[in-house]
Amino acid sequence: MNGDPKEKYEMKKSDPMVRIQDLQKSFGDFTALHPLTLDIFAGEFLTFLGPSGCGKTTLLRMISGFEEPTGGTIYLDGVDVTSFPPHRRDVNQVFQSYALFPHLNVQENIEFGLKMKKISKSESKSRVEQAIQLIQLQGMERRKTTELSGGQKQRVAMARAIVCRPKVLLLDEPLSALDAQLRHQMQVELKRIQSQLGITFVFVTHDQEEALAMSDRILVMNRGSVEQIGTSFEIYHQPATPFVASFIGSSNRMAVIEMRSDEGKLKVRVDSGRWISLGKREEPKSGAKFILSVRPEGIEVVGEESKEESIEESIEGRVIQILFRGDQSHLFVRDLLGVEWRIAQSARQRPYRVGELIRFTITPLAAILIEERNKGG
Amino acid sequence: MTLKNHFDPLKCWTWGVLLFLYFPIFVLIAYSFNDSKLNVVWKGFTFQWYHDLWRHEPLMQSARNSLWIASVTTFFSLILGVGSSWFFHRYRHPFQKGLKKMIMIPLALPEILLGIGLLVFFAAIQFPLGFTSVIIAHITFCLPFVILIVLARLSGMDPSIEEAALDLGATPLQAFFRVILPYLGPAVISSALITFTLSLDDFIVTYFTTGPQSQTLPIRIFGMTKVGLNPIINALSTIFILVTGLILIFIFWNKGTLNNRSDK
Ligand SMILES: Nc1ncnc2c1ncn2[C@@H]1O[C@H](COP(=O)(O)OP(=O)(O)OP(=O)(O)O)[C@@H](O)[C@H]1O
Ligand SMILES: [Mg+2]
Repeated sequence: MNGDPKEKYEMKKSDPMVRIQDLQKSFGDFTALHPLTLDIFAGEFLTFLGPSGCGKTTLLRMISGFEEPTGGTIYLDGVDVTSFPPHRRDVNQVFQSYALFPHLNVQENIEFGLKMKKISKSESKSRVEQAIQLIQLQGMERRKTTELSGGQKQRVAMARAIVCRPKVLLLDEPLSALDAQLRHQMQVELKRIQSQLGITFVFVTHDQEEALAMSDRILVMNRGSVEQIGTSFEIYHQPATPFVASFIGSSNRMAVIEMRSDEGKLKVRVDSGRWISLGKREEPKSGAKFILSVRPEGIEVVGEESKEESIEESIEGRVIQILFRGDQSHLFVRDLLGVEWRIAQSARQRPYRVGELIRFTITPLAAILIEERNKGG
Repeated sequence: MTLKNHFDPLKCWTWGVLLFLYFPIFVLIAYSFNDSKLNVVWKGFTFQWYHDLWRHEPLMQSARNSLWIASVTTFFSLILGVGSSWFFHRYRHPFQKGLKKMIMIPLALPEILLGIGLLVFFAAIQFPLGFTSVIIAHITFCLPFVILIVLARLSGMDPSIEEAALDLGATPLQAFFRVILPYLGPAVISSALITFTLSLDDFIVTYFTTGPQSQTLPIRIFGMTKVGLNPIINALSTIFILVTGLILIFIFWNKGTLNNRSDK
């Protein structure tokens, strides 16, 4: 799977590993998933991200076959598997509770899928050994699963799924039961395993940091529908909807009430009445409602020594709270109009104190306009 | 704490209760070794009654009947009980709650009513009384115990265990036999032992549903005591107590491991 990236991309374009078409799911009169169309490409790490109850598990379980769709089609490697029971689909799932078989030891757990598929003894032996090596469980083969730690159980669950060489590996919040440190360790590990095996990973999480760190692409969901699909970079820097902007990372968001284009430079007036210049860019189509969103990193504190022209555009405010995060701090600043701003400050900058008056400017390129979708609910 | 040498009312109470419970049993065991035909005075130690018991063909025949009936009852109760527990646990259906309760009713029903009910039923369909009728009767009162025990174990099971098996390529049938049934193992052993003892010990229901050829041990003993108390019966009872006791100890031990092993 380490071919030329362009070649890989071409292949991706032509045949998706999973094609989901108009897939939907209702429980009674509650719609858990609105019609969704999605291609998942071979070898990619795709994450379903969204708040609790948005339908991530439901979507995943329809791919694995445990939930029957109300409508739509699922193709796996070109084959329509919509009506296939779970045991006839070439996908495997890693369960949130690990779901290890308590009466079998580590090795027997890992072998289970190969036995069911009637893989020959010698083949099975070498595959299990390989998996144990990959997952770093050497020496634990004979352990009872009840004698394992959470992280070890997680590894066994992974090994048990990957020995089957599935076309797609589905992971439903596999790390949510682990403590923070182990979780970060397993994130790195999962990425390593995925790139080593080249298996398509579909990962479910409600943790946006985890999603951004691990995914090739992220599908952001809310209330059973898709908000945006894109790379981690796109999701973070070009959120398509106000929901994405608010759910991923932190941002300063303001409703836009007026726009003016001036020699190619766009200026917007936000709900507090302030005019903010967004630099050279085209005016978006009128008639729609927009939100201006600026990440904390998109705001810069200007020092006393800065030039006159930037002072003119700058905003003055008082620091009301400081959130220390190690690599950077977030300043909460209230400006003279009473609006609160969240400003990121790198660790190398001079630390500010609560109560201090500061000036800051918005980096024009960091400010994005998001069209507000008129959705019911 | 220096309570050791104190008069401890709680302790005395406990010993009193235990004595009350076990005194008759101890007397019975003791008299089974008493070298006297009468159960009144102690004359000396003997194995005579155990020897006689071995030679007492009617009693031995009913012992064989009892064991046969208990074995068959256990076998079918397990199959029916485990199957229906799985059905109750796994599939959602409109009568779920009601049906579950209905299965438990025989537990609370006075045994004599159950016996009479079964007798009337067998008479109504003109079913001949014999081994089959006794076994059917025993299954009816053993089944609720099996279901109760197996359901308790199932309710502690992670539902994704079954899904994991299906996900790894097992058919629903394979998932049941390779994952669910092994998981139920301790519960199945417990219910087997309980069913076996219940069937072995039962008198009332058997009394109503048995025929002349299928006399069980309790029925035979009862018949003999009407004629007079025989020390052979003491010997037999001692063996009975021993067997039942061992089974019970095993059940408790098994339950301990069952709890230890139950996964989070
Ligand atoms: N069997 C069911 N019957 C009725 N409603 C259901 C069923 N399963 C899920 N739902 C509903 O569908 C919605 C989506 O559930 P789902 O489990 O997919 O959420 P999720 O995104 O995985 O959330 P979480 O992050 O909490 O796991 C929820 O509102 C849930 O209540
Ligand atoms: Mg979920």
